Amino acid sequence: MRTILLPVSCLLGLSAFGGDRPAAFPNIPDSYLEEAAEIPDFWVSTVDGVNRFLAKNVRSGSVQSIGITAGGRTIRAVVYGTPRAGNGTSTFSGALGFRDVRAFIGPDHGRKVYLGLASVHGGEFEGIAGMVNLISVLETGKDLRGREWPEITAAAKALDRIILVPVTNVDGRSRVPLRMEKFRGSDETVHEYRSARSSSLSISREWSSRAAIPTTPASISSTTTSSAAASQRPRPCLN
Amino acid sequence: MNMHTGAVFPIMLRPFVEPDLVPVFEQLFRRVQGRLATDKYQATEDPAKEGNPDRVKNISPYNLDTALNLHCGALSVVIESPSHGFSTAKRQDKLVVFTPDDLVNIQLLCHLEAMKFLGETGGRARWTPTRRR
Repeated sequence: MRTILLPVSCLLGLSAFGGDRPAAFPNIPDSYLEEAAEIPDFWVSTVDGVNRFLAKNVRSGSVQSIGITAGGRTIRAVVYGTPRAGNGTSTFSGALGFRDVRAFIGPDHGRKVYLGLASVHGGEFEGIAGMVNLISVLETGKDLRGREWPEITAAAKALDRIILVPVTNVDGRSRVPLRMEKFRGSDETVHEYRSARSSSLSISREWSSRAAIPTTPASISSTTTSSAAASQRPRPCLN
Repeated sequence: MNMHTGAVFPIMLRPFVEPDLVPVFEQLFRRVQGRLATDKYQATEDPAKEGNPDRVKNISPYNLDTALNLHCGALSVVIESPSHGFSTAKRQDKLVVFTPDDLVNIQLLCHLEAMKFLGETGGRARWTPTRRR
Protein backbone atom coordinates (compact mmCIF):
# COMPACT_ATOMS: atom_id res chain seq x y z
CA MET A 1 0.00 0.00 0.00
CA ARG A 2 1.34 3.37 -0.87
CA THR A 3 0.82 6.58 0.97
CA ILE A 4 -2.71 6.81 2.22
CA LEU A 5 -4.37 10.18 2.23
CA LEU A 6 -7.96 9.93 3.26
CA PRO A 7 -10.52 12.57 2.42
CA VAL A 8 -11.74 12.76 5.98
CA SER A 9 -12.97 16.29 5.64
CA CYS A 10 -15.95 15.07 3.66
CA LEU A 11 -16.96 12.40 6.11
CA LEU A 12 -18.74 14.58 8.59
CA GLY A 13 -19.20 17.75 6.62
CA LEU A 14 -16.42 19.32 8.61
CA SER A 15 -15.54 22.93 8.62
CA ALA A 16 -12.34 24.47 9.81
CA PHE A 17 -13.05 25.16 13.45
CA GLY A 18 -11.21 22.77 15.68
CA GLY A 19 -12.81 23.34 19.05
CA ASP A 20 -14.77 20.85 21.08
CA ARG A 21 -18.48 20.50 21.65
CA PRO A 22 -19.57 24.00 22.64
CA ALA A 23 -18.55 25.57 19.36
CA ALA A 24 -19.42 22.64 17.15
CA PHE A 25 -22.67 21.33 18.59
CA PRO A 26 -24.34 23.90 20.81
CA ASN A 27 -27.78 22.30 20.64
CA ILE A 28 -27.14 18.66 21.45
CA PRO A 29 -29.69 17.47 24.00
CA ASP A 30 -28.14 16.50 27.31
CA SER A 31 -29.50 12.99 26.94
CA TYR A 32 -27.23 12.44 23.97
CA LEU A 33 -24.21 13.08 26.13
CA GLU A 34 -24.84 10.70 29.00
CA GLU A 35 -21.89 8.41 29.54
CA ALA A 36 -22.40 4.79 30.51
CA ALA A 37 -22.34 4.28 34.26
CA GLU A 38 -19.55 1.74 34.09
CA ILE A 39 -16.95 1.92 31.35
CA PRO A 40 -14.42 -0.89 31.30
CA ASP A 41 -10.76 0.03 31.14
CA PHE A 42 -10.29 -1.84 27.88
CA TRP A 43 -12.77 0.44 26.17
CA VAL A 44 -10.32 2.99 24.81
CA SER A 45 -12.30 5.06 22.35
CA THR A 46 -11.45 8.75 22.57
CA VAL A 47 -8.82 10.54 20.53
CA ASP A 48 -6.86 11.49 23.63
CA GLY A 49 -7.21 8.01 25.08
CA VAL A 50 -5.95 6.42 21.88
CA ASN A 51 -3.04 8.83 21.64
CA ARG A 52 -2.02 8.10 25.22
CA PHE A 53 -2.28 4.39 24.57
CA LEU A 54 -0.16 4.59 21.44
CA ALA A 55 2.52 6.71 23.09
CA LYS A 56 2.78 4.35 26.02
CA ASN A 57 2.39 0.95 24.42
CA VAL A 58 3.58 0.84 20.83
CA ARG A 59 7.12 -0.54 20.83
CA SER A 60 7.53 -3.19 18.16
CA GLY A 61 5.47 -1.14 15.72
CA SER A 62 5.80 2.55 15.07
CA VAL A 63 3.31 5.40 15.25
CA GLN A 64 3.31 7.52 12.12
CA SER A 65 1.48 10.61 11.04
CA ILE A 66 -0.26 9.88 7.74
CA GLY A 67 -2.14 13.11 7.31
CA ILE A 68 -3.69 16.19 8.80
CA THR A 69 -7.44 16.62 8.93
CA ALA A 70 -9.35 19.66 7.77
CA GLY A 71 -9.60 20.61 11.43
CA GLY A 72 -5.82 20.50 11.82
CA ARG A 73 -5.63 17.23 13.75
CA THR A 74 -3.08 14.52 13.12
CA ILE A 75 -4.21 11.20 11.67
CA ARG A 76 -2.06 8.49 13.22
CA ALA A 77 -1.34 5.01 12.00
CA VAL A 78 0.45 2.19 13.76
CA VAL A 79 2.59 0.27 11.29
CA TYR A 80 4.42 -3.02 11.47
CA GLY A 81 6.90 -4.28 8.91
CA THR A 82 8.48 -2.38 6.09
CA PRO A 83 6.65 -0.81 3.16
CA ARG A 84 6.73 -2.07 -0.36
CA ALA A 85 9.46 -0.56 -2.46
CA GLY A 86 7.03 0.31 -5.20
CA ASN A 87 8.86 0.53 -8.51
CA GLY A 88 5.87 -0.58 -10.52
CA THR A 89 6.11 0.05 -14.23
CA SER A 90 2.47 0.94 -14.86
CA THR A 91 -0.40 2.87 -13.37
CA PHE A 92 -3.07 0.82 -11.65
CA SER A 93 -5.56 1.39 -14.44
CA GLY A 94 -2.90 0.55 -16.97
CA ALA A 95 -2.12 -2.70 -15.17
CA LEU A 96 -5.80 -3.58 -15.14
CA GLY A 97 -5.90 -2.92 -18.87
CA PHE A 98 -3.55 -5.78 -19.59
CA ARG A 99 -4.70 -7.76 -16.56
CA ASP A 100 -1.50 -7.98 -14.61
CA VAL A 101 -1.64 -5.99 -11.39
CA ARG A 102 1.93 -7.00 -10.62
CA ALA A 103 3.09 -4.36 -13.07
CA PHE A 104 1.55 -1.69 -10.88
CA ILE A 105 2.61 -3.09 -7.52
CA GLY A 106 6.18 -3.72 -8.55
CA PRO A 107 8.70 -6.53 -8.05
CA ASP A 108 7.70 -7.08 -4.41
CA HIS A 109 4.10 -7.75 -5.41
CA GLY A 110 4.03 -10.88 -3.28
CA ARG A 111 4.20 -8.93 -0.03
CA LYS A 112 1.02 -9.14 1.97
CA VAL A 113 -0.23 -5.84 3.36
CA TYR A 114 -3.10 -5.55 5.82
CA LEU A 115 -4.88 -2.24 6.39
CA GLY A 116 -7.31 -1.63 9.23
CA LEU A 117 -9.39 1.54 9.51
CA ALA A 118 -11.62 2.50 12.40
CA SER A 119 -13.88 5.44 13.08
CA VAL A 120 -14.19 6.66 9.54
CA HIS A 121 -17.45 7.90 11.02
CA GLY A 122 -16.56 9.78 14.16
CA GLY A 123 -19.46 8.60 16.29
CA GLU A 124 -18.71 4.89 15.86
CA PHE A 125 -16.58 3.73 18.75
CA GLU A 126 -16.56 -0.06 18.44
CA GLY A 127 -13.89 -0.12 15.76
CA ILE A 128 -11.62 2.13 17.81
CA ALA A 129 -11.84 -0.05 20.90
CA GLY A 130 -11.25 -3.11 18.77
CA MET A 131 -8.28 -1.58 16.99
CA VAL A 132 -6.63 -0.52 20.24
CA ASN A 133 -7.07 -4.03 21.60
CA LEU A 134 -5.67 -5.43 18.36
CA ILE A 135 -2.60 -3.24 18.73
CA SER A 136 -2.25 -4.48 22.29
CA VAL A 137 -2.31 -8.06 21.01
CA LEU A 138 0.31 -7.30 18.38
CA GLU A 139 2.52 -5.65 20.99
CA THR A 140 2.09 -8.05 23.90
CA GLY A 141 0.13 -11.08 22.74
CA LYS A 142 -2.75 -10.04 24.99
CA ASP A 143 -5.63 -7.64 24.62
CA LEU A 144 -6.34 -5.03 27.27
CA ARG A 145 -8.37 -7.54 29.25
CA GLY A 146 -5.37 -9.82 29.52
CA ARG A 147 -6.82 -12.36 27.08
CA GLU A 148 -4.27 -14.05 24.85
CA TRP A 149 -4.92 -14.28 21.11
CA PRO A 150 -2.33 -16.72 19.77
CA GLU A 151 -4.24 -16.98 16.48
CA ILE A 152 -3.84 -13.26 15.87
CA THR A 153 -0.17 -13.38 16.77
CA ALA A 154 0.37 -16.22 14.31
CA ALA A 155 -1.71 -14.63 11.58
CA ALA A 156 0.17 -11.35 11.92
CA LYS A 157 3.50 -13.12 11.57
CA ALA A 158 2.41 -14.42 8.18
CA LEU A 159 1.97 -10.87 6.89
CA ASP A 160 4.64 -8.50 5.66
CA ARG A 161 3.05 -5.21 6.57
CA ILE A 162 0.25 -4.16 8.90
CA ILE A 163 -1.15 -0.63 8.94
CA LEU A 164 -3.75 0.21 11.57
CA VAL A 165 -5.54 3.56 11.81
CA PRO A 166 -7.45 3.58 15.10
CA VAL A 167 -9.15 6.93 14.51
CA THR A 168 -9.44 7.79 10.86
CA ASN A 169 -11.86 10.69 11.19
CA VAL A 170 -10.16 12.50 14.04
CA ASP A 171 -12.23 15.65 13.60
CA GLY A 172 -15.50 13.77 13.72
CA ARG A 173 -14.48 11.68 16.72
CA SER A 174 -13.33 14.78 18.57
CA ARG A 175 -16.79 16.27 18.20
CA VAL A 176 -18.58 13.45 19.95
CA PRO A 177 -17.55 14.06 23.56
CA LEU A 178 -18.30 10.60 24.89
CA ARG A 179 -16.18 7.62 25.78
CA MET A 180 -19.09 5.21 25.91
CA GLU A 181 -22.70 6.02 25.26
CA LYS A 182 -25.32 5.05 27.80
CA PHE A 183 -27.21 1.94 26.72
CA ARG A 184 -30.68 2.94 25.53
CA GLY A 185 -32.27 -0.47 25.11
CA SER A 186 -33.92 -1.50 21.89
CA ASP A 187 -35.90 1.53 20.86
CA GLU A 188 -34.02 1.80 17.56
CA THR A 189 -33.31 5.43 18.14
CA VAL A 190 -30.17 6.57 16.43
CA HIS A 191 -28.33 9.67 17.53
CA GLU A 192 -26.67 11.49 14.72
CA TYR A 193 -24.24 14.33 15.08
CA ARG A 194 -24.04 16.57 12.10
CA SER A 195 -22.01 19.65 11.62
CA ALA A 196 -23.08 22.31 9.23
CA ARG A 197 -21.25 24.63 6.93
CA SER A 198 -23.62 27.35 7.96
CA SER A 199 -24.72 28.02 11.50
CA SER A 200 -28.29 28.27 10.24
CA LEU A 201 -28.35 24.59 9.32
CA SER A 202 -29.11 21.69 11.58
CA ILE A 203 -26.44 20.38 13.87
CA SER A 204 -28.02 17.34 15.40
CA ARG A 205 -31.22 15.39 15.33
CA GLU A 206 -32.86 12.22 16.42
CA TRP A 207 -35.09 9.92 14.44
CA SER A 208 -36.64 6.53 14.62
CA SER A 209 -35.72 3.99 11.98
CA ARG A 210 -38.71 1.91 13.04
CA ALA A 211 -41.07 4.59 11.87
CA ALA A 212 -38.79 5.48 8.97
CA ILE A 213 -39.86 9.04 9.50
CA PRO A 214 -37.47 11.53 11.01
CA THR A 215 -38.68 13.08 14.22
CA THR A 216 -37.45 16.41 15.35
CA PRO A 217 -37.38 17.20 19.03
CA ALA A 218 -38.53 20.70 19.67
CA SER A 219 -35.20 21.61 21.20
CA ILE A 220 -33.32 20.83 18.00
CA SER A 221 -33.28 22.81 14.84
CA SER A 222 -33.48 20.64 11.77
CA THR A 223 -33.37 21.12 8.04
CA THR A 224 -35.70 19.64 5.52
CA THR A 225 -32.86 18.45 3.37
CA SER A 226 -31.05 16.52 6.05
CA SER A 227 -34.24 14.95 7.37
CA ALA A 228 -35.35 13.94 3.91
CA ALA A 229 -32.01 12.35 3.22
CA ALA A 230 -32.16 10.47 6.48
CA SER A 231 -35.57 9.02 5.72
CA GLN A 232 -34.14 7.37 2.62
CA ARG A 233 -31.61 5.41 4.59
CA PRO A 234 -32.83 2.07 5.91
CA ARG A 235 -30.18 1.66 8.59
CA PRO A 236 -27.72 4.45 9.05
CA CYS A 237 -24.33 4.39 10.58
CA LEU A 238 -23.97 6.40 13.74
CA ASN A 239 -22.00 9.16 12.19
CA MET B 1 -10.93 -3.75 6.90
CA ASN B 2 -13.01 -0.66 7.40
CA MET B 3 -14.69 -1.00 10.79
CA HIS B 4 -18.03 0.74 11.26
CA THR B 5 -21.03 0.58 13.59
CA GLY B 6 -24.60 0.20 12.49
CA ALA B 7 -25.77 -3.40 12.23
CA VAL B 8 -28.10 -5.67 14.17
CA PHE B 9 -25.58 -8.51 14.07
CA PRO B 10 -22.09 -7.90 12.72
CA ILE B 11 -22.09 -7.97 8.94
CA MET B 12 -19.59 -7.43 6.17
CA LEU B 13 -20.96 -5.31 3.34
CA ARG B 14 -20.43 -6.04 -0.32
CA PRO B 15 -18.18 -3.33 -1.77
CA PHE B 16 -18.36 -1.72 -5.18
CA VAL B 17 -15.00 -2.88 -6.51
CA GLU B 18 -13.42 -4.48 -9.55
CA PRO B 19 -15.52 -7.44 -10.74
CA ASP B 20 -12.48 -9.69 -10.54
CA LEU B 21 -12.35 -9.17 -6.78
CA VAL B 22 -15.95 -10.22 -6.17
CA PRO B 23 -15.12 -13.92 -5.73
CA VAL B 24 -12.36 -12.94 -3.32
CA PHE B 25 -14.76 -10.82 -1.33
CA GLU B 26 -17.15 -13.76 -1.14
CA GLN B 27 -14.42 -16.04 0.17
CA LEU B 28 -13.53 -13.46 2.76
CA PHE B 29 -17.18 -13.07 3.69
CA ARG B 30 -17.50 -16.81 4.28
CA ARG B 31 -14.45 -16.80 6.48
CA VAL B 32 -15.33 -13.82 8.65
CA GLN B 33 -19.05 -14.37 8.94
CA GLY B 34 -18.58 -18.10 9.43
CA ARG B 35 -16.20 -17.51 12.30
CA LEU B 36 -18.56 -15.01 13.89
CA ALA B 37 -21.32 -17.61 13.71
CA THR B 38 -19.13 -20.30 15.26
CA ASP B 39 -18.30 -17.93 18.09
CA LYS B 40 -21.98 -17.12 18.63
CA TYR B 41 -21.96 -13.56 17.35
CA GLN B 42 -24.52 -14.13 14.61
CA ALA B 43 -28.24 -14.84 14.67
CA THR B 44 -27.49 -18.54 14.37
CA GLU B 45 -24.45 -20.71 15.01
CA ASP B 46 -24.53 -22.06 11.48
CA PRO B 47 -21.40 -20.88 9.64
CA ALA B 48 -22.74 -22.00 6.27
CA LYS B 49 -25.88 -19.94 6.66
CA GLU B 50 -24.31 -16.87 8.18
CA GLY B 51 -21.32 -17.07 5.85
CA ASN B 52 -23.42 -17.20 2.71
CA PRO B 53 -22.46 -14.10 0.68
CA ASP B 54 -25.94 -14.01 -0.82
CA ARG B 55 -26.91 -12.38 2.45
CA VAL B 56 -25.42 -9.19 1.09
CA LYS B 57 -26.64 -9.07 -2.48
CA ASN B 58 -26.77 -5.30 -2.64
CA ILE B 59 -23.57 -3.57 -3.62
CA SER B 60 -22.57 -0.60 -1.50
CA PRO B 61 -22.42 2.72 -3.32
CA TYR B 62 -19.14 4.25 -4.37
CA ASN B 63 -17.39 5.08 -1.14
CA LEU B 64 -14.02 4.96 0.58
CA ASP B 65 -13.61 1.26 -0.16
CA THR B 66 -14.20 1.82 -3.84
CA ALA B 67 -11.78 4.72 -3.82
CA LEU B 68 -9.08 2.60 -2.20
CA ASN B 69 -9.69 -0.17 -4.71
CA LEU B 70 -9.59 2.08 -7.74
CA HIS B 71 -6.61 4.02 -6.39
CA CYS B 72 -4.30 1.14 -5.62
CA GLY B 73 -6.11 -2.15 -6.12
CA ALA B 74 -6.83 -2.90 -2.47
CA LEU B 75 -9.79 -5.04 -1.55
CA SER B 76 -11.35 -2.89 1.15
CA VAL B 77 -14.55 -3.91 2.91
CA VAL B 78 -16.82 -2.38 5.53
CA ILE B 79 -17.80 -4.39 8.56
CA GLU B 80 -20.75 -3.01 10.44
CA SER B 81 -20.73 -3.79 14.14
CA PRO B 82 -23.62 -3.77 16.56
CA SER B 83 -23.59 -0.78 18.87
CA HIS B 84 -22.84 -0.52 22.56
CA GLY B 85 -25.58 2.10 22.73
CA PHE B 86 -28.57 0.02 21.70
CA SER B 87 -29.54 -3.35 20.29
CA THR B 88 -32.38 -4.74 18.23
CA ALA B 89 -30.77 -8.13 17.71
CA LYS B 90 -32.88 -11.14 18.58
CA ARG B 91 -32.21 -14.86 18.81
CA GLN B 92 -35.27 -17.03 19.18
CA ASP B 93 -37.30 -13.90 19.89
CA LYS B 94 -35.06 -12.89 22.77
CA LEU B 95 -33.19 -9.60 22.72
CA VAL B 96 -29.44 -9.98 22.37
CA VAL B 97 -27.42 -7.27 24.06
CA PHE B 98 -23.80 -7.10 22.98
CA THR B 99 -21.60 -6.25 25.93
CA PRO B 100 -18.41 -4.24 25.49
CA ASP B 101 -16.57 -7.56 25.84
CA ASP B 102 -18.61 -9.02 22.99
CA LEU B 103 -18.03 -6.00 20.81
CA VAL B 104 -14.27 -6.11 21.25
CA ASN B 105 -14.28 -9.85 20.62
CA ILE B 106 -16.21 -9.28 17.40
CA GLN B 107 -13.69 -6.72 16.26
CA LEU B 108 -10.74 -8.95 17.04
CA LEU B 109 -12.32 -11.97 15.36
CA CYS B 110 -12.94 -9.96 12.19
CA HIS B 111 -9.33 -8.79 12.09
CA LEU B 112 -8.11 -12.27 12.89
CA GLU B 113 -10.01 -13.99 10.11
CA ALA B 114 -9.13 -11.28 7.59
CA MET B 115 -5.45 -11.53 8.48
CA LYS B 116 -5.54 -15.31 8.20
CA PHE B 117 -7.31 -15.05 4.86
CA LEU B 118 -4.71 -12.64 3.53
CA GLY B 119 -1.85 -14.78 4.76
CA GLU B 120 -3.26 -17.98 3.35
CA THR B 121 -4.41 -16.68 -0.01
CA GLY B 122 -1.40 -14.52 -0.78
CA GLY B 123 -2.89 -11.10 -1.32
CA ARG B 124 -3.83 -8.97 -4.27
CA ALA B 125 -1.23 -10.14 -6.78
CA ARG B 126 -2.49 -13.71 -6.41
CA TRP B 127 -6.17 -12.97 -6.17
CA THR B 128 -6.85 -11.85 -9.69
CA PRO B 129 -6.14 -13.71 -12.89
CA THR B 130 -3.08 -12.78 -14.87
CA ARG B 131 -3.16 -13.01 -18.62
CA ARG B 132 -0.42 -15.16 -20.07
CA ARG B 133 1.88 -13.12 -22.26
